[in-house]
Amino acid sequence: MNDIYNIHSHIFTGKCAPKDFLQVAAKLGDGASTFLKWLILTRPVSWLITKLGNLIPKRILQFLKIGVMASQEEVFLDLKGAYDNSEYSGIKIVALTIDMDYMSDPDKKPEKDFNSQIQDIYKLKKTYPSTLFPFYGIDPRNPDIKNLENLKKAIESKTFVGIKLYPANGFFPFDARLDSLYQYAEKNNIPVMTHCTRGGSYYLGKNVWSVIPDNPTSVNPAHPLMPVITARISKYKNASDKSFRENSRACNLFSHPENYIPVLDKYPKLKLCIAHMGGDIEILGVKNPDAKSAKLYQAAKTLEGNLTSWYDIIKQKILIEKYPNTFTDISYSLCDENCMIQLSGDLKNGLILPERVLFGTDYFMVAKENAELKVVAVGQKNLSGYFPLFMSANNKRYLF
Amino acid sequence: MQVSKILEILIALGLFYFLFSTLVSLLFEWYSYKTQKRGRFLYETILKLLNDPVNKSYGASLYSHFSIDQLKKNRDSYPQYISSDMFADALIDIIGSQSETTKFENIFDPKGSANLVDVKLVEERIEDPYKRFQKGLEQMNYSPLKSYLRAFYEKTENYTELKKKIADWFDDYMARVSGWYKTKTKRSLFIISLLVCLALNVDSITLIKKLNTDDKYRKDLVLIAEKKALENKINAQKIDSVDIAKNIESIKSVITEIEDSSLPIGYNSDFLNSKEEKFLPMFLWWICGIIISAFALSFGAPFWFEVMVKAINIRRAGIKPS
Repeated sequence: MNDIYNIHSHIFTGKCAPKDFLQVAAKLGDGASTFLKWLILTRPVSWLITKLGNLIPKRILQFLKIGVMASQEEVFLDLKGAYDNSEYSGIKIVALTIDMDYMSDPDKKPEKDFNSQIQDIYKLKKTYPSTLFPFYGIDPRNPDIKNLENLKKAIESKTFVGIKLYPANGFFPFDARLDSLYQYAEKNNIPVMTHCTRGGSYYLGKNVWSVIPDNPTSVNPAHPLMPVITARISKYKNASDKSFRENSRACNLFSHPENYIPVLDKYPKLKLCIAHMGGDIEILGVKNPDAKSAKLYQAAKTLEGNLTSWYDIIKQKILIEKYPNTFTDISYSLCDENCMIQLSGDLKNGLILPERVLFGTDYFMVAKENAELKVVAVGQKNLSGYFPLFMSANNKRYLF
Repeated sequence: MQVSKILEILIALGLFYFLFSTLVSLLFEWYSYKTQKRGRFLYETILKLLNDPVNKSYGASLYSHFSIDQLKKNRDSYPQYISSDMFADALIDIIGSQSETTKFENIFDPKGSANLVDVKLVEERIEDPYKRFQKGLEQMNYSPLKSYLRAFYEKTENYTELKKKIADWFDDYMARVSGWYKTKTKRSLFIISLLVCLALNVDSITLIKKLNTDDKYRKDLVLIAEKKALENKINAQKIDSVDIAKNIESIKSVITEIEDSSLPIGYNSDFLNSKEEKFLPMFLWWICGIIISAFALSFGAPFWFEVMVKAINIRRAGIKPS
């Protein structure tokens, strides 16, 4: 197998994330999370994590070990090193940058801002031109969205090969400010990767409702789905289960796959990958062996008024002929064998076109679940016949 | 009390505090090195100096610059010191690099397999670093930092002058940073002083009493102090951040000097017996003595050396001719 790609990985360090970022993983309060991040980044604790991370293959330690690495190059080499002595040696790595400058309150901004994260990637690309293929993170709150000057420079120099969106950080993918971005991406055949799961990283600021307008602006305001989306916002805002009004769940409003339909109807040829297939909660639904996840799926489905799961929306409404350049990837979800069994069944039954599925792992987020090669092994075991297609032909078609 | 006796007490006290504050300084330097206090403070102040919310964090870029990155002892450490020359070179390079255009050319398999066989790097850069800096500035959006750097460019005519201007700016800023660092570290210095005073029972009140009553002891200390002053230099023992054994040696040599001066310190049997008599008032006096010592030691060795030399000079009514 040659010319293979991991289409979904992250190589940013803990310094590129806001001070209260650990709220996302540790489910702690704001203050505790800020303190914990400070503590983890202190020299002795960071040293201890590195040492223990090498000695004990505990998943969370491995994740923290990567998080406390000093540079993006170190993280990148850790990922590259994981593959170097395996059958996937020579794999090309797509690193997705994320603009995290706006995912929290201004006083919690990352120590290393987005521009610095990007500058490091520029240097890294020069050092590893044939192995690293970065995506440029976009957030409509960044002033660059007005004329896309930095993005165009990054893409046109071929340093960056695609665009990464992370709506759960506090914006809707159909946000009117993103109109010129989609226009540019469609016109120039630039791949867009977007996050789509419940949970994951999300807006951390104290007042999440300050970033969720009742009637958000849209690239396609007259689209018939816009009233449905507006109604969904209202349902979340007035949810009797108060947990849906909190950041971690309210941000599901941003990640909902239906949000992409108004965009795709305006830009049908847009090369768009809805990552993670909607996430394990939505792939497994009520069949999820984890009762908590199954319950959350049911509660969220009822609240949102979905007729089907997010996974089904992706399969039935997005990966369709009408939108010839839409994809999904198996990143993160591949660590869950049940999700892979479900996907394998759907592929065999023709419910999802194999040409629309990409291979990625979501390194280093997936390190919370298992080591890189072990999660790949789970995917390969269940999708062996499709793996070469996903890793090579599909990823190449999406990228170039 | 006679003036000469007061001066002798002052000289002896100066020597006493000088020796212990040297020990405190050594411990503090070692602590700062171990906790990266100085390096981290330098990092934070450079981030502040090069803060540019409009363009990018040039401070973070400076620390990622190859020349500065190489100063790190290991991946987690921060350089303890950055020379103004190095700072200026790195900053000029960072600003100048914004003028570079780097492009990549993807080369696919000509046989039509759509395999990417190579990625070629095509760089376009201005070779003259002075012109590069100017072009790099032009790439920046307006910001106070851009305006400041542009002024440097406008006031100079070549790379050497520009580098000197930036180096002078950095030196000037670092002089202020030293002051901020001293203020910031005062609390840590006081805590270390207090720990030293408690560990060694460095009680100023007991010492003053002894100096006041024991003439021979006082005069012996004055002689030692005069000898020290004649050496005409501070025992500038510096922490060697690389060689821990050397640091321990430095601390040991100061402790030997303290022992040789037979100062009334430590928890000997006299100390314990005296506390048994009138425990509470004695204890309160002892606490006062310890706090006074801790406060005095936190002033640092150079301060007490100067006090000691000045008192010696007054006592002699002038510096002894060489």
